[in-house]
Amino acid sequence: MSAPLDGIRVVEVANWLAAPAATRLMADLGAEVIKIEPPGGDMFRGFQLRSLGYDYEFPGNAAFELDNFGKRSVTVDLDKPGGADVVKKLAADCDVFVTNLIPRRRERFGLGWEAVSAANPRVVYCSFSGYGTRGPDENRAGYDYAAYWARSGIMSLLAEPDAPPPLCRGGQGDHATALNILSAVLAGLRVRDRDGVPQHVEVTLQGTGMWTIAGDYSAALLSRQHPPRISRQAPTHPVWNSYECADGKWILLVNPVPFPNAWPRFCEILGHPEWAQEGQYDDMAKLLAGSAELTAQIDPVIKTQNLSHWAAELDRQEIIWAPVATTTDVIDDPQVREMGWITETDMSFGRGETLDTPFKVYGSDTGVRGPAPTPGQDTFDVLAELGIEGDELNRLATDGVLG
Amino acid sequence: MSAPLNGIRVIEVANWLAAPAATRLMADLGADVIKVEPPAGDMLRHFALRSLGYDYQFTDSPAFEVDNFGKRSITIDLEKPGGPELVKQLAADCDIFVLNLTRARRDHFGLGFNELAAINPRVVYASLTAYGSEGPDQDRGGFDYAAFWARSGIMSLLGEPSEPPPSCRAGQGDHSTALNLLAAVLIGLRQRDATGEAQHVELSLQGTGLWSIAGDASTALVAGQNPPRVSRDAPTHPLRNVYRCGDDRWVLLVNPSPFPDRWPAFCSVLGHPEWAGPGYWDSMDRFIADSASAVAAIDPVMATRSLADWGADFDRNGIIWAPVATLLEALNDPQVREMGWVTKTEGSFGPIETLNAPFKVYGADVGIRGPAPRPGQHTFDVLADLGIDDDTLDRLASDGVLG
Repeated sequence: MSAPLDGIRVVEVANWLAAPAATRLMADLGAEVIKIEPPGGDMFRGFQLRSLGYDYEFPGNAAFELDNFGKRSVTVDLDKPGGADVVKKLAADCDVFVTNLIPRRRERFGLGWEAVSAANPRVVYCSFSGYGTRGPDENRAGYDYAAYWARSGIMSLLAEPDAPPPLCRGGQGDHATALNILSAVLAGLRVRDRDGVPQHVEVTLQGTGMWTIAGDYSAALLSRQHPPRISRQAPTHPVWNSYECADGKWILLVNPVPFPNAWPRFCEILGHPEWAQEGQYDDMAKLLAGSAELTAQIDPVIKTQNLSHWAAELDRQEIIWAPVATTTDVIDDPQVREMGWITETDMSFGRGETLDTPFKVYGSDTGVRGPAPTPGQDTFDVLAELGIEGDELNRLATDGVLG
Repeated sequence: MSAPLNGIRVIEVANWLAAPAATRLMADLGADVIKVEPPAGDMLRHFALRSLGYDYQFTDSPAFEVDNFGKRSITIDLEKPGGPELVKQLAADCDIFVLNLTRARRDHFGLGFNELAAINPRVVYASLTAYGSEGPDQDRGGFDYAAFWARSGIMSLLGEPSEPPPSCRAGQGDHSTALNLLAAVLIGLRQRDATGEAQHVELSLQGTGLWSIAGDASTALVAGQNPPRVSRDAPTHPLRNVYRCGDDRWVLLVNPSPFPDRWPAFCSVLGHPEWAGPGYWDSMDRFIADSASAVAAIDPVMATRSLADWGADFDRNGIIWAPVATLLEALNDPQVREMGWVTKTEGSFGPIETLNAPFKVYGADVGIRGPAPRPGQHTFDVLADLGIDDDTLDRLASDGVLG
């Protein structure tokens, strides 16, 4: 079996999550990925997972590992004389160049689109940043929290109407954005292969965040209104809400079309078929208007039975629902196992389980390619391949350019 | 300028958001996208946006529009004799076939990968479902709320520790998944072009949700524990939190490395440089042990000045922040406008503003290709192109196969 990105060389000058996650997927697809790190390594290596509140001593950084499987690592100090030249040589000899340096730093090091495409007329150059390569915030740092969640408008729409904006999961925006970067690079690669000209593609965290709430944007752009937050005490309608069961577990119902079936069947299960009958909540307008009073009546009924009871009933009535699963529930979910979203692999701190590529390309060789590298693990090999050796290599090493 | 998917024909047998959003992006990239709809049209056409709480009379659905720009529409009743055969005829003549039918319905209509690869040995067959085409939940309906948010573990991690799981934004999971689908299809296409063989790619809402919290999932897989929810009253550390300013605006701070510089700089901005010194909060361990006391001290200080005033000081001191923007602020954001994430186009109900593709491929012809189609607007054109003669067309029409 061949891999989709066989023979493609990727150079990554990036750190933290989004861009490395995208190039990790390129490695899964068969590309050779060279990660350029500062001498101390990607900042993400030093992130303390324990600060997230786990009561556990981690043998290594599993989150860094996940975003860097199967890469080679070269450490170069861009701020030292000669450092940028090494990276430029690598950029001249690759198919895909991914950077998340802010534009000011990119230009200072001679690693902007113009310079790299002049040196490499077959490059697909991917600009990735919080806000983009032009505009008032082109040099502003972001992270997904700021650029993807807060500046896109998403965060203002989450949580109960009177509550503070909620804390989102660190990295969720980054991993969605990684899929956007991967798509953009593949589109660029297609044009490059066909037309033989270098391509400049660009993705931002802010723009990706906006895309994910495209439905809200399309409505806001027309109505010029900020949509209200939705409260679980007064949801859109009662078959699109979460409820707490007797065992403290939560179920989520999501039936965007309550009529003719979902709502009457749900009332049947609750033992209140009359709620869906004439004179009560028998059409969409009444259901929307009555969502708060209905929720107040439904809550105590759901509280009388465990989740397993409601699960069987909802399935029997073909109402769309899910348990609000915890992470460990998901790890044990037979559906997740059957689909193979979790895989076992060697990591730099030992063998263990991690997430596989988030899509399947059946019949081709895709998948995790082994541990994340240690910082600078491949520096001398990669430089030798570039023809940097002897005195030149010694000088770079003694000047501390290679860390 | 050429378009990345020039000459590529896509058949979409899908509805609601995730798969149509992905094929809309394929249309933006230059593909000819034919949307196969049931006679009444995609269910999303009929979704009442007003039910989301807008005080605005939508005459048409901009949310449907945003996911269906530039497509052609053909209406076919799959339940009528001859309906599935017509879809197979379309599939025989395409490059990409995108499907979100559950496994049972796909098998019932003879639209599985093996059937289609037999009649189209160059097809890239993309399967998107809530949970996957294997496993115990292969025929379960989901929507992004259930499969992406609840069954992936994300929802259980959001909100304050003691609160119910929060309402997420409908469609946010779908639009993230659309990027996964686009990437998978582009990979399949590359592999098809390289090998000349039909390709089967697959993804699910659940698997994509899990990928989006890859950091949490990879960590939980090692620790065997659920990460705790994070409270704004006791966050990971005070530089990764939201604060209410004097003008009631919320500001988000996201500085994953508070030491050595950012926490002391922040304390100086607040007028309390001593808070970063001995006896106060002078190390990451102090924050892990007790971030709540720091937040309690910071909250009243943040309430003394406006968001704009704090923002200016944060910028001067290199502290990473963002306003928690509303949608209206985000869509008027000069940064958003400069990057071109919002664009004007001709919608099916007049000129509108909407969202552009969430990535740029500079130097290629990428962009919205015109309005969303009316249901069945292109039925006869498309079938005539397939070489179906007038008598057969008349018969299909009178049998109700075409709606």
